[in-house]
Amino acid sequence: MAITAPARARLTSHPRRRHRFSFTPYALVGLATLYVLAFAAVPLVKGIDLSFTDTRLLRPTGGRYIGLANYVDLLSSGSFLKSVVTTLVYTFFCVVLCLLIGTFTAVIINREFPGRTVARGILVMPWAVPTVAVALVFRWIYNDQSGIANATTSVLGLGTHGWLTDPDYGMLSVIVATVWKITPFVMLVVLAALQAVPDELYEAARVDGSRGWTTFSLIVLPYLMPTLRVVGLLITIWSFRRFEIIWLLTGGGPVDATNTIVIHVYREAFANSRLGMAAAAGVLGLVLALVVTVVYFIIENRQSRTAGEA
Amino acid sequence: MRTTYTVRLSAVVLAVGMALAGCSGTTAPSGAPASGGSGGAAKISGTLTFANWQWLEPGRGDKILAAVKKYETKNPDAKVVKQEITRADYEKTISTQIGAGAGPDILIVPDPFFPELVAAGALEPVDDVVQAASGLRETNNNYKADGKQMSILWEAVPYALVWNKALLEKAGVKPPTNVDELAAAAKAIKDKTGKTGFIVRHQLNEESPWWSDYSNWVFGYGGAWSDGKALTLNRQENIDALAALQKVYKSGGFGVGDDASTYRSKFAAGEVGMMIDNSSAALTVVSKAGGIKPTEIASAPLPFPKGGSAYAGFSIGINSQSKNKALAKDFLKWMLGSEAQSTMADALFPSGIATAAKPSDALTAQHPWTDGFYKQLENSSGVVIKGFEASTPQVRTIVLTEVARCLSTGTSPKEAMDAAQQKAASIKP
Repeated sequence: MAITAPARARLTSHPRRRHRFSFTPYALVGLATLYVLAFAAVPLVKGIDLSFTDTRLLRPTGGRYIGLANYVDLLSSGSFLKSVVTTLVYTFFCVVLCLLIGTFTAVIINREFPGRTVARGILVMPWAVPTVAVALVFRWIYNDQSGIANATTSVLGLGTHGWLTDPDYGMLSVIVATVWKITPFVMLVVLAALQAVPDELYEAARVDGSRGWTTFSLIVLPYLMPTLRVVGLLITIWSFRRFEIIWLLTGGGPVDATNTIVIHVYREAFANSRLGMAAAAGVLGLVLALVVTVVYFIIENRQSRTAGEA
Repeated sequence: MRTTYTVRLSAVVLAVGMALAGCSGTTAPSGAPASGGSGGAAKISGTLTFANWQWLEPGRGDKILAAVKKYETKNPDAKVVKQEITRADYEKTISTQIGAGAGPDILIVPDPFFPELVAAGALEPVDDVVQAASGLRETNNNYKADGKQMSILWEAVPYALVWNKALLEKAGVKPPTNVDELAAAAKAIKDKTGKTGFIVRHQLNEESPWWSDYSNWVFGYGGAWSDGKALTLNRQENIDALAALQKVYKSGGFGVGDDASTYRSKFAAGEVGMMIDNSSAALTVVSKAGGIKPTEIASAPLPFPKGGSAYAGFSIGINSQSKNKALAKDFLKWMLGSEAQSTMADALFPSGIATAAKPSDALTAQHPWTDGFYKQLENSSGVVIKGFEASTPQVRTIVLTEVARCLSTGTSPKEAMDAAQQKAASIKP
């Protein structure tokens, strides 16, 4: 059958779009760019610049350039390197415990049981409570004289401890308070991911004789992994920069046991008034956080590639 | 005729205009004659912001504010407005404000903060203010820099051992006169009454005020932080002082973990037997409604062998960036007048103030517990490190970290002070 010329023209030619120049996308992107520049890029550049000066809090514009002196001081001082280790320890335990407890709790409350809605509401509460209130409550719990923590350990025959005053217990106390506060967030996100697992998969696993842990590890966990990785990254970054709960509970003590990089930066800036030194500590902290993030993305890419090849 | 009328009308308009301008509340330029101490001819008007944590002290803040506000009676064109900042956040808040080119017109300056403010040029010299005053205490000379008077003594707050008379009686112990007795008394109170035996600041999250509190132990043992040229953190007297604190801390009667606001509240509620604290804190404690009464406590000089102690010194200064410097100076001149000083002596009771003005007899009789503080004031020193004025905060952090380590771990006092000396080695005068 012959094709007529107009029909051929209709088939071969695309409808011609008229591109009219519009400012709208530029304006929208421009606003976002300006926002990022004003509130992230400029302060970041200023902070890096500050780190090469001896600027003090009372004279923020009166600093002199001193080269790498601040960095040399920091890297040769035991206290900063100790604060790096403290940050890594705090972050590691916060991430691991939050992921474990949050996932476990999510799996439990994903099941049908009487009062499930109420249980979910109660379990989410710590996330909703302001951090300052959490810190004050935990200060009371940990009080050496009248705290419920010592009352409980006493009754159990475990003696009393300086939860916020003994360097051996300071980090543990802060981690417990942090995990209590952050775990509900993990629980909520994992719960949402769990509800996306198709019921047919559970059914198929059951037909194949799979039960309990086997079903979870072979069927559910692979579904949860992308979610857990993202949540893990978020908690890692938050833990690196967490300030309020640590400062309000211990102020970085006892004896620097909880002196994380952020607390170190704050003390340099506001207790010792050394803004330049604080900025240098902040830059080193940023580099550390960037390293962790880059490692995360490398692992993520490798796993995506492996999954694609499979 | 018409010309004369026009001239008269113009004159009236001009006069009214000038009068209105005089009432418009504009501030006279800096250096204008003062209305204060000398009762100068020209009034200076405006609003003075006055930063002080003491506004927040129960039972004391209102009295201090009322005393300060009397300036408004002397100069009706002026207004004094309080700026409340908590003690824990005071230095960092003021630093941030001044660093940003703002800040209060008048501010109270804790002694360890003074060198830093002076180095930053944040204080306006007040030589003309003190030249017009009389009867100033020698302590005011501590607030000179390069021969210029940079601030004026606001209050010198002495320390003493304070105790709850009923609790000591119940425990069957006498007021301690040395550290061994202090440790034994603390333990006895805890064992026999279940209450905290003794407490004093001991945690880094109160670093700045803890420095003053801890210096009591060092000065009481005859120690010092420097010889003016080099730091002497690990001298034997300093080690002995830390050993003394450690002994009391581990006595079994020490209120481990409580910060100052907590243990002061507990003392007011009759839950603490003894504490070493400053006189203004003790006054706040006995001023709490429903709490321990002034007649139920007593004080004595610190139970240390050499008799020395620290005082918490606070001066009053003018922000060099203030737009109301003339008015602020006028306020200070008024404050140093004999009438205002008498009022301030009552308001800041039982602290020492800029002049030797005494509090009223009625007030002294109402608070018989102040004897120990007045005795201790005679043998007290400031806590800024001689020769290391601007580095005091850094040395403070190092020393108190090691003190905390000694208290809460097995580190010996000698090891702790040796470590502090080593860590502070790079700090130069």
